Amino acid sequence: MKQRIVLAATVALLISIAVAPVASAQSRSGIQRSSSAVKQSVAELASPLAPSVVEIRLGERIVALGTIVTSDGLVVTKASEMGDEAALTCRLWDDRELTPEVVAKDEELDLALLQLSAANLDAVNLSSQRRPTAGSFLVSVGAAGQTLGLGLVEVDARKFDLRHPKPSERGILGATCSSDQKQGGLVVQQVTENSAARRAGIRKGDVIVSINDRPLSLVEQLVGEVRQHKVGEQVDLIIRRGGETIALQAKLAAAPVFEPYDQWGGGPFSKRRFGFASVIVHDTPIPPQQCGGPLLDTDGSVVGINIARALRVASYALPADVVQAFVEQNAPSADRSKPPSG
Amino acid sequence: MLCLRILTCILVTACGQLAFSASQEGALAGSPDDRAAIHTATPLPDRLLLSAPENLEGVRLLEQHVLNLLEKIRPATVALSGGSGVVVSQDGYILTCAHVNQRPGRQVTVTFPDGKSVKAITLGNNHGVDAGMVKIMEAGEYPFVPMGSSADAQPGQWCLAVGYPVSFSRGLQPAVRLGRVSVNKPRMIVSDCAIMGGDSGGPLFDLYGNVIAINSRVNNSLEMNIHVPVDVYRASWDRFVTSQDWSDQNPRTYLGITRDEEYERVRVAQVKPNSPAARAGIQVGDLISAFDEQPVATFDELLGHMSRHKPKDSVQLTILRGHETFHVSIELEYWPKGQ
Repeated sequence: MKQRIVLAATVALLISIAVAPVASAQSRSGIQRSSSAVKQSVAELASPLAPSVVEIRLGERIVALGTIVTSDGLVVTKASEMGDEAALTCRLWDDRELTPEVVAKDEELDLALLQLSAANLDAVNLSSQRRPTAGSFLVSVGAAGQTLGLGLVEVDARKFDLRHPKPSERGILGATCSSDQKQGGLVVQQVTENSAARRAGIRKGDVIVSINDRPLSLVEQLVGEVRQHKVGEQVDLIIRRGGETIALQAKLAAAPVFEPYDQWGGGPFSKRRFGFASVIVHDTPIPPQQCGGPLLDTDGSVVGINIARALRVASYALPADVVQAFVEQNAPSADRSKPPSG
Repeated sequence: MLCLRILTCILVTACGQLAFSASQEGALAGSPDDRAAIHTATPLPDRLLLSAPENLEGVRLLEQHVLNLLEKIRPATVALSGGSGVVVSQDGYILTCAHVNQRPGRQVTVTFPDGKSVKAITLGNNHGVDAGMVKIMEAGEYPFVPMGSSADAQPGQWCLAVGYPVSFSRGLQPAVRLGRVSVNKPRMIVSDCAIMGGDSGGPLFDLYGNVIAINSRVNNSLEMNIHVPVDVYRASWDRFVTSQDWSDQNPRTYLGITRDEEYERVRVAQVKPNSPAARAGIQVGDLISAFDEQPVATFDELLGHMSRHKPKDSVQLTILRGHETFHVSIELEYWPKGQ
């Protein structure tokens, strides 16, 4: 675990060395591809969709966007961002806040179909069969019909599937320590949030004296012992805090999966971004919480639904016809699934 | 009218540079003299080249232009082992990065987007700017694109990055990304064309279809994609072609600490084992307040000081630990291999 963190930090440092002299470039404004002037140039495509985009909320937090696909209240969104379904609300463009019913979920597509109790909504038209070719420009639509960005299709439609790195079975403690001869143990420098160490009650400044009855004087000894254990196994720790000696047990947690794709930064990325069979790959940086909204071509047709922020260089969208098929298969009754006229 | 003149001026400059380089390089490499500028298939108003489209009509014009351009620039964008490259002469000279090439004389495979693979050999590298060159060894007439003039690249100018990012298949069309130039310096061009691992060595094109730079490196920000200016290759063409391996910059120095992102000041988050910092007794949580008695307020300032030194140079750091302040003397090292 520690090694992973060090590795990540080293990569970040190495990269930032490379660019330190031009850090001022970030303060330049107005000449980026996503400048307000660029967004303005396609606003007339995005803004008419304002009534068709909803915010999916957990309390005050926006977790995703949703796209209205039938006038009587069916909405598609990104399933893996929804969290606690019972606590979900949908905020419409006119500030109505409705509680949706989850009608269906498709794990492979990462789509959820929600039912709102509302009528006469403005649904998007998903009838486009077009798979835009590489170089085609795309407009990603956000809540209230704002333009999230202008991007282009990176490669012609083809099967595009990232391999998911295998999660490690090895457990980790989640505490960063340094050896200190004078203290006769390892001094805890940092305790990671939601880690085994945090749950066991270990605090910054504690001195870990032993693990499973093995006395500790070097960090490597702690790492070596933890490595012998799998996720879910317990280790016995003796720590010293002030004058007290305390015995603790820590249940080891899973190491965070280090995604080799992420060493070049550009995140945050979507929780679910691997294993899509057919996606439009485009270069607009869509924040994970803004997935679920419509993706337009420069004629204003909906060609897809943004489904994942995947890589530094790529966001994914499900093609419109794939989403339409999902809606038709899962709509509560057949007559509801017809695309709106016009 | 004024706008039009700027456009013409850029075109003339680009062609002039090309003509110059063609004759010069032709003599050295015996090849790229048959290079010709790509003429834009669709007329593109210059206001579109340098600024945001004024309206939807402008966006569609830009889109159509890019679509046409791809037909010409993608066939010359190739996959190399560990990166990308771009063919700039009919007989197969390829521009790439030094960190993709590693060293001269290595046999590598060049894969074109149509799936065709040919054997090639790595030529010279300037590691100081991360520029490298490759030559295809099999005789043939290869798809190629012209080298433009990086000196003429302007902030705000639209550009296209092309390459084979990790996870994008080789032997298929490369991935294209849109962006704009933000910084143009003699040793680096910065754009917001998002690039990542695998793109290294791939081309950055202007909207005339000329290579203006080669993808090199990034930082976390999506606005910080760094490319090697193409003029760097032209200026040392003979050194690259004759497989010289050099660096025009001090080797990177190594201290062995990582930055604590939560602090604006220079707080040490990690001390690498067996590093100069570890040997000098620097500890996690130390604040570094001065470098050779010059105050350092940020990590970038520290890196700036380090970049002006060579490995084996002895420097003095001022450390704040708790209420203590003290100096340590440290001998900087070469950046460890493989990091």
